[in-house]
Amino acid sequence: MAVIEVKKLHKIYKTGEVEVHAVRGIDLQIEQGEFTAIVGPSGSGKTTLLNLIGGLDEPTEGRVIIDGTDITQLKDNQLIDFRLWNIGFVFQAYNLIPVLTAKENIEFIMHLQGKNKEERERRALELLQEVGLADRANSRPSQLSGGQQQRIAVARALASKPKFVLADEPTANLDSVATTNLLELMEQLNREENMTFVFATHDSRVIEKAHRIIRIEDGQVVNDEKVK
Amino acid sequence: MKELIKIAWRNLWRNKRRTIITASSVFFATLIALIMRSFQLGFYNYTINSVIEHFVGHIQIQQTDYHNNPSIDNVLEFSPHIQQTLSNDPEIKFFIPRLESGALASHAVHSKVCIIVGIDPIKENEFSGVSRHLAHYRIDPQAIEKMSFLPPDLRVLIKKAQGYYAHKQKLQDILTSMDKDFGKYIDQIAWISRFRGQYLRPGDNQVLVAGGLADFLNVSVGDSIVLLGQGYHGSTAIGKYRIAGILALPSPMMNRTFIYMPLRLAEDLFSTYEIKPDGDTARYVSYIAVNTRYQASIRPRDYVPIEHVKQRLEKKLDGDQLKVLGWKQINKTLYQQIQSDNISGQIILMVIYIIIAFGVFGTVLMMMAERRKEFGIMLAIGMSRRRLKQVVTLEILILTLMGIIAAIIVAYPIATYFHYHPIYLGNEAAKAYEQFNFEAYMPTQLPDIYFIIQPFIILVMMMLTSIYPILYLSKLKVSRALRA
Ligand SMILES: Nc1ncnc2c1ncn2[C@@H]1O[C@H](COP(=O)(O)OP(=O)(O)OP(=O)(O)O)[C@@H](O)[C@H]1O
Ligand SMILES: [Mg+2]
Repeated sequence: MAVIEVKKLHKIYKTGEVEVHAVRGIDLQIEQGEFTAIVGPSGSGKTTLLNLIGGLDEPTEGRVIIDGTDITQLKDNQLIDFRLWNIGFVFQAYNLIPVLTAKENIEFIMHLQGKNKEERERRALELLQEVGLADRANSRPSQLSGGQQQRIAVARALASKPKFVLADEPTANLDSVATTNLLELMEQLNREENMTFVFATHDSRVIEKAHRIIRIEDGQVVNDEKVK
Repeated sequence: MKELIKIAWRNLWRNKRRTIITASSVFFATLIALIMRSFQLGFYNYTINSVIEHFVGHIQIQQTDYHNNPSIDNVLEFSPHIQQTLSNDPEIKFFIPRLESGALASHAVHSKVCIIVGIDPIKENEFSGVSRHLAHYRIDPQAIEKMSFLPPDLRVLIKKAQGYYAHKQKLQDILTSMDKDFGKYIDQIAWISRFRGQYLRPGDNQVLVAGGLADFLNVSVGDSIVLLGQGYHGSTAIGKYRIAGILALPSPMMNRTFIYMPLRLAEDLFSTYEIKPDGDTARYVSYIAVNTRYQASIRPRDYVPIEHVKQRLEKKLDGDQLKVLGWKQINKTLYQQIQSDNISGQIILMVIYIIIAFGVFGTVLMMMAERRKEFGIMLAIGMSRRRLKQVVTLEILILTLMGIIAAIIVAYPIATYFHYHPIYLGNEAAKAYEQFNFEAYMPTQLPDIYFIIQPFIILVMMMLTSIYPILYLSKLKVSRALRA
């Protein structure tokens, strides 16, 4: 069974008189362990699609089924709880809670899950090791570089042991070295832990690394191919 | 919760300056509120204490018509039944009879209308502390003559302070409020102007005369005055009495007119007694002043029990042709003045609170606006709206509490200090106070329940500002917030 299943998905934004049909009937399945890039020109609907998959926005029509649960049927607070336990998020920037240190940011999500202190500490340190920032555990986000912040964001996304991680242009604010580092990290996590990643991007360096590329234009899938 | 408090606390310090400014405004509002309240309540209590607790009494028992027509004919029998009822009531602490009437006082060629108050010297002193007012100092031309140590300007100035003084402190306060330099000479001035006089003893044939009246009649201790007036049921009241002491009464009206004498002497003077058919003597008084074991104050929790005692007395003494009055009825003006002053004071405080609440609200608005994206991320990763609201509410709570607690810490010693070291208001304000027969001091109220109530009101008002973030966070759409 696919982790993510999208059926006849539509999203229409209404701003006054104007209607924007941002997603027009997308069908999609993503399996456990995939490393998928959603690509397309600006305004093509990548963010909208990702938000719908992540339960951050409601579709106008269609279904989003995560691991057997139709999340379009969930109420607001059920959805928040669902995200907490099932989905990891990495955004373009300002991912982290500015008043918490790197380690506290990672622990925070486990705190929301009600994990005990011991487990939180252990997993946070483990993840800090994995993303190579054990020495910055007590730094605040403002004391970290953009690349370091994104790696902490990845660590946080993984901390809750989600079914998959959604990343919307995670490298948009990074230079090429940081981009390469972040991608290698995600790839490694995909390889070693079989973690599913779905990212929206138009960064060619990111696209190169993807195992599957879904191209959308004007809210529709125009190409979907496995490359690795 | 600990985690949320940690986040809230750190959020506050993201913008140190703004937090400090906002907390300071809460601090100053609370400080002003507490100090203002302390002086207000202190003043009311001091007033009521002086006038009611120590003179009028919580309750008075009078003949039915006396309140409207306080004449010597509208007197009331100080009967064994009344005395027993009062003595047996466990909630009554104290009661004293008084016989009051107007008369003409004369000495040599001078005469003047006066008010004679017949008292039980010992009990009256316990109740109203008449002997506190006994003059121990007198500034008069002879005394000033001897004050050659004073610089010429002070020697001129001191003439304005002529009169009787009961205490050295009062003398010092009056003089230094005219000119600070008097402070240096106060011991010498007091020594030269010292004055002798005695309080009444129960069997005494002597009287106490108020200072202003004594000056007018040109009498002093040891002289005699003649009192002439109308007695009970048309009898003539006339008598000659030696002056035992002079009273320096704060109220100018009382100081111009009052003469105190032992109750028995006044009964003789006004013939307010009768031999009954059974051979007993009926003794009449103008009224009986009663103090309960509660406190007279403007707070309902203080005056309500007094009302209960009053109602009980009314029932028990029913049929004796008398009237039981509470202090609020007897001193209606005083009560109403205090009441309206109290209300306007509270309105001023409310206005201050509202202004400060708007200040806090401004800060809250800014906090919310600049953190929109952050709220979006927190909701996205799975923080519930409830917890997010808790964080923001905690921020407002901590911010407010910092201001409030600091204000309580600062206000506490101030309110305590000025209770024990009341401010003397000076001669001008003194005139306004003295019509109620008390000294122009302004003691504060010692910190008590109002130190909790006012901060609590402030806290509630400030917490009302959290309604906005709560609504805001209920409605915030994650996808929109993330795009911000
Ligand atoms: N809240 C909204 N209200 C109205 N229109 C919106 C809203 N969000 C997105 N749109 C529109 O929907 C379309 C798709 O936007 P979306 O952000 O998904 O594109 P994108 O592929 O992520 O673009 P980019 O590469 O620039 O991030 C655009 O035309 C955009 O203007
Ligand atoms: Mg986008």
